Amino acid sequence: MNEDQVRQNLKDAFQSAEGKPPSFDEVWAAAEVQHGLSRRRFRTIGGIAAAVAVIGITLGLWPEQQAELTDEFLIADSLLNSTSWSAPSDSLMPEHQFDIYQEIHFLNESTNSQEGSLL
Amino acid sequence: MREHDALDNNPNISQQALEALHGQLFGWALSRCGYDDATAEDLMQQAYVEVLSGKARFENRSTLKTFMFGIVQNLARSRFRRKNTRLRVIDAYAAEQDDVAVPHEEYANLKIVWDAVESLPQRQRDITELVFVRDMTIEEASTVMGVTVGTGRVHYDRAKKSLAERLASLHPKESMQ
Repeated sequence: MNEDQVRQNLKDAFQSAEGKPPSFDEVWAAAEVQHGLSRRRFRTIGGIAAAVAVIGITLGLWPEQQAELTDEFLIADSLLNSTSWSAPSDSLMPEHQFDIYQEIHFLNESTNSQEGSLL
Repeated sequence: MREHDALDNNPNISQQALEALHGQLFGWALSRCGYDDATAEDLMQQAYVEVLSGKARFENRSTLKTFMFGIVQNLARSRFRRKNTRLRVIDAYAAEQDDVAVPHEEYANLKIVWDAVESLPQRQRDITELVFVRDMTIEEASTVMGVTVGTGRVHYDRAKKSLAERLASLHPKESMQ
């Protein structure tokens, strides 16, 4: 079997399964409608969003009280973020040293003396 | 040059050129969706919406046929990614036989051809259809399938060999050249 025969056999088989295609004009018209609808929907949603935003701004829907609270919070927050505080004595504290009275809770004591001192 | 019926969002595509491809594109869409007419028509419509909206933009880097076949291929892939799309051609063909009288021998031959096509792996089946049935070059078919030309050539050679062996019974006295 040569390549042309394979080609012809396949073409015959595919054509028998495919039948007649739908009309181009019908499919094209449906595509145009779908394209138009999606474009219109996109424009409608955009228009509604813009209108809501304009109305909201115009009518001052943002509660004044809430706006004041927000302003106060922002001021306090910015102050806290822009400053730092530490006790004056912090800089006077020496580096950590071993404190025998604080860090050893009991001391072994002796009553034996040597050269006048307790061991 | 812009043709008189060129699309607004795709100036390199004319409606007339799409109409000329319509039949072949429908055949390709059918084979992408298991030969379901309604789904194929829906795929075609979606492909036309893609070019109408300019989402898929044709820049003359390939032929329009390759471009449109590629759109249908991609749409089908994304739509049927999770589905096992099997060819149901023989069933469809058998159902048609109730209405159309086809000689028994002819039907038997078609069944042999379809069995041979169905036995091929998906990519070999695709390149077989694109090259043998849709008259594309291996390069064009590879572009539609999204594989390199080298890979496309390997699939084509294997498919051709396999088909020649399986279809030998139709023309027993000849061998594939």
